[in-house]
Amino acid sequence: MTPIPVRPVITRSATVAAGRFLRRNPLATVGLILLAAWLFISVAAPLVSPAEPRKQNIAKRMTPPSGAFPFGSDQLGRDVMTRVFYGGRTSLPGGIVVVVCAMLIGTFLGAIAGFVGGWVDELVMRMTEVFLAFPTIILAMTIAAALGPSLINAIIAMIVVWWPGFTRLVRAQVMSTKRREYVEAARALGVSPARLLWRTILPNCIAPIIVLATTDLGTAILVFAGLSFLGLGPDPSVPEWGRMIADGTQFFDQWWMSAFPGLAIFTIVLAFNFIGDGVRDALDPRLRNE
Amino acid sequence: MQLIRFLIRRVVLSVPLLVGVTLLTFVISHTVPSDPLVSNLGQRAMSDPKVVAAFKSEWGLDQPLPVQYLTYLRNLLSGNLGKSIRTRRPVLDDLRAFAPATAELALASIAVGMLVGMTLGVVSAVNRNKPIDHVVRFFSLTGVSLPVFWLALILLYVFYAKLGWVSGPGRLDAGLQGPAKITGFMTIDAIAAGRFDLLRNAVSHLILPAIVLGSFASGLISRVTRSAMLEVLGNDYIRTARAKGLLQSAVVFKHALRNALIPVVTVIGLSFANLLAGTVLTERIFAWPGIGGYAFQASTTLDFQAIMGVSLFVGLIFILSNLIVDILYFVLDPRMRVD
Repeated sequence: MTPIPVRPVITRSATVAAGRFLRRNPLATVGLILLAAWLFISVAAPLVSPAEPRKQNIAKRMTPPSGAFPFGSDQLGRDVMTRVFYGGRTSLPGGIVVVVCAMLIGTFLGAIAGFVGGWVDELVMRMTEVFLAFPTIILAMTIAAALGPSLINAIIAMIVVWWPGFTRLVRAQVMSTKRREYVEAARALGVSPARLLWRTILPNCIAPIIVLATTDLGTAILVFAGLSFLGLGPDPSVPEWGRMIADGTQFFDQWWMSAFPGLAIFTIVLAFNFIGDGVRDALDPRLRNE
Repeated sequence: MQLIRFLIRRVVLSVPLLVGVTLLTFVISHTVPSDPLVSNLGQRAMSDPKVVAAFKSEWGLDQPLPVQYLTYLRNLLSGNLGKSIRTRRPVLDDLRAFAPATAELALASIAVGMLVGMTLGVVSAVNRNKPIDHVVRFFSLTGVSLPVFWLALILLYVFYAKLGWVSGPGRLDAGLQGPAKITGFMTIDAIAAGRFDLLRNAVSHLILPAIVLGSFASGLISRVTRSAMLEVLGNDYIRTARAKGLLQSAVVFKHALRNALIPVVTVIGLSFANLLAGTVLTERIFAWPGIGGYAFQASTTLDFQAIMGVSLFVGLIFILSNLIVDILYFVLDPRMRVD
């Protein structure tokens, strides 16, 4: 009797998987490079910026892009490039905080609603629908205006309007997962309901949550910039892209004042959307074959 | 018959949703640290207790909150949306005055979004993984990544200030007398009045904001069209159609696109509701006298009645566009009529 040959277990290392992902998604690669660049610029802003973000130089106000001011200077003679670089320090963490908090709240509510069902589900979903019936920025604008314009309040306002998308998604995922056989098996083994939900069901719902979070990061940065553009963000001295564009609208011919911060928002949102698209393609089984 | 029963159910179910919308706005706008007095009375008036008391009693601010809310609901049932603190006019009149401009802009934008988005989506799906597919995907992702207020500025700078191809902010050139108001749509009213000069002017004002607002929608629509088309194109009946020797155009438009329309219609309905949000920013830049600008003014001055009026209006549009999407399902998918 010859022993049955043991087939080697095929393990695909994370690096190989990542390499495959990047080869198949050139746009996602571009997105990752853009995001890495922005993360670097934001973290290293004091080192890579040519000037101080708040230093005014009235004598040199509104000078067009040149050697001294690569992106020009604004109405107070502040260096636009420096302020664009520093802007990432507000927008990036702002967007991330909003999406992470919304994801935690939304996942918690959605998981409970989908798992428990009955009147709890009804209550949570009706509440979610009411929030979803508002376009994000109108509700966020009302909350931000009511709380008073500030960075923290803009973030609070956005979290309040952001969680329902996650709730709806997670609820649907939990509802379809909880009928799977392995969940039944775990239940039959006497696993407690709480453990069943958080340890057995939820980890299997994570992929679509990650996809939504990635693309939402871009949208959150857009909405944050929008609120700030409307004057509902951090105070004017803080370098923030939306606010810089709003300042630029008053100086139409000094196009550089709004062009560069806009380009900053655009590239970072584009990066998140490229990455989100790639992640979706990689995780969606319907698009994976071929 | 089934459609009517279905519609009645949906309409009945949307009533609690609308009440929820009023409750949410009410709670948010009334339980916050900011004081409408500060936003609406001057410094001098604030220090005069008599003026403050008069203001409070005029706007019902001296009543307990639940009483204020119930009063609001009762008035609402009789079609009274209250009076705007800022404009001192009934909110309903304000909405009537501002809604047509926004409706005209939103419809023009969704037309741009559908035309561009569906075309790109189909082209992209048919040429899957070819260079043109990548180019289109790049553009559709660009569409959803551009800050609308920035795109608006850039387009204004290039096409209005530099090239002079289109008109700038506003609905008509300053100094032009608008046509007699019939629908409130500048373009339609101009046609009705036989004033084709006004029509040309109105269109030249409308085109930039419509492109700006439509860009986001076209990005969304093209992405959904592409994936829906891809799914349909993989079906057996498409292979059969091709095997029969049908023209590519017949396969794509008659066999594939029609069956791919359902998710596309859903996203168009969703984009329409989102357009209204985009109008807040777009209308501000293009000095467009619509609901978006009104909403902004209302929320920054804590003009409660106006905020609640706008929320209700937007909630209503949201519900209506979902309803239209559902009706279109019935039209597009015969299976829906059986279930």
